[in-house]
Amino acid sequence: MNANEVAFEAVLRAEAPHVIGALARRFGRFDAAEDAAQEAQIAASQQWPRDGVPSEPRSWLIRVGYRRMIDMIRSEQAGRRREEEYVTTDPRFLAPDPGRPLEIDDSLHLLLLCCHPVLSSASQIALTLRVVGGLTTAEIAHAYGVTEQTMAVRISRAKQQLKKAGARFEFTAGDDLHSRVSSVMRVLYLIFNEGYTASAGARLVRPDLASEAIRLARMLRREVPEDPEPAALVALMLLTDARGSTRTDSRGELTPLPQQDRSRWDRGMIAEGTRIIEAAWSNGAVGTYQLQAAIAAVHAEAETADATDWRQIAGLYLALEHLEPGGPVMLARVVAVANAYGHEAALEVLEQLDREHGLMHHPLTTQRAHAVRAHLLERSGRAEAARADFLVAADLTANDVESRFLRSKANNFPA
Amino acid sequence: MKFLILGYTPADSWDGATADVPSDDALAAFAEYQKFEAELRETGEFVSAEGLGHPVMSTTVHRKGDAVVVTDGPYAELKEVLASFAVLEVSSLDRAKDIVARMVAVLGEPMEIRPIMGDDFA
Repeated sequence: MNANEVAFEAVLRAEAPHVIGALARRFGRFDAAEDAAQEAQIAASQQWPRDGVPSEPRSWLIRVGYRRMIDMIRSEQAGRRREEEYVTTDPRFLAPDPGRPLEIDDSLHLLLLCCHPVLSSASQIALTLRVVGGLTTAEIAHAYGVTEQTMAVRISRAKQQLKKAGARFEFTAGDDLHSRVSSVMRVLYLIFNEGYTASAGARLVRPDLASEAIRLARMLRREVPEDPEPAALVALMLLTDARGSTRTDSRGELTPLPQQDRSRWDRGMIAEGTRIIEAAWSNGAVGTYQLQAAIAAVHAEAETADATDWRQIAGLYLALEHLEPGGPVMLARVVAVANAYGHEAALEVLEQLDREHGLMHHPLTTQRAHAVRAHLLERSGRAEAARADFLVAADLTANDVESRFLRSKANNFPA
Repeated sequence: MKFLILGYTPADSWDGATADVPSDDALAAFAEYQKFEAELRETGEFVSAEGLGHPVMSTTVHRKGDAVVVTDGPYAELKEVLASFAVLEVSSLDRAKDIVARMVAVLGEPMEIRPIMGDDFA
């Protein structure tokens, strides 16, 4: 792509949700609107390089999409008439008011629709990237390591499911906006993590999912500025992505946080992420993304690993554990406590959490719990117990590199 | 966006003997409809609505070569004829469908939702 094509691409991607939104509104047909908008984009990518970008690209795209939509609907009607039994299938008609549409931007209506609860996570992700992100089906298939055919089926099935569930383009005031925004945030964070954890080799052929997730999270933040959580999500992504290039070494293996080269962290992203989380923090109620972003900010502000304010991090993890009690968060708190208050305190916390939540035996946490306890026991000089835990953790991991590492730790102790 | 709501009725029933004497059911339905109309005025979605005269009262004007010809009678003789219309200003076709579905549920006769082309088309 030359510079011009990159610019066209950016305009088309930014306009996509608005074009689909305008067509879905006028025709009440989300599935067809998406197809028509896509055809308008194809027409644009053929004509704009030749004739230049029109002065109002959005109107141009909507006009072309509108004509495609008329053609599509006409040929469909020639086949059969579409009928919807409104009164019998939609119980809301029994209520005096079927629910006034919420006055929000089209791109937010579209995001909420793509993350509709009738869809599986995988479908929500695919539809969001396709419809709101404007990525091609081939690009999304590439990103998730499936064939284009598989991804095409997943996207079209998701559209069918929305249609069957009677999901509509407009989000109405009677619906629970807060919980729906939460599911949008979850989807965007999953997309971000998928991009972020992509191995170096795979990253070359992947579209940059992390950047795309950040772009969409910024959009969500603009749409619901009064909610501090989407802002915090943007901050969390920026603060995490700032470390991106230092997370893996030249052989593609993971470099843990304390050993990362902090001079290569992206200072611009850290500054922006920190500024956003500080502003979001003063906004009253604290949510899980605010806490995670705050933790990332504390890590980012430390000049060296030793200078990390572990007491603050331990406190933030405790708050996070109250909001969202889960094994990974609990174990992260144990590690923070060890760094802040020493291994004995951490062993006590771990023992208590295990009593209350069975961390050492729960299938999702048992491996990591044994590895964490092994390190703590090693530091407190209890060699025999540490060796036993290292071996259990080594047996439980599916990752060869980690298994070799844990076994070598175990073998350092005199048997 | 604006929509024109076209209410149809069978031409036969308009010609029927009881056409001038509405039944109690019809009056009850109309009262129900008027309550709904008031709701829509409240939300600002209702622009206007009118009932129409018998189609036989229509006058059709068309051009024939260089002349303009005025003919008595409707443009087309149909079994289902236009009986009333309303203009709604709503956020989407889906919203228009919600409203018209309730009107039809109350009034019983078929209605057509036709987009009015306006600035929001583009």
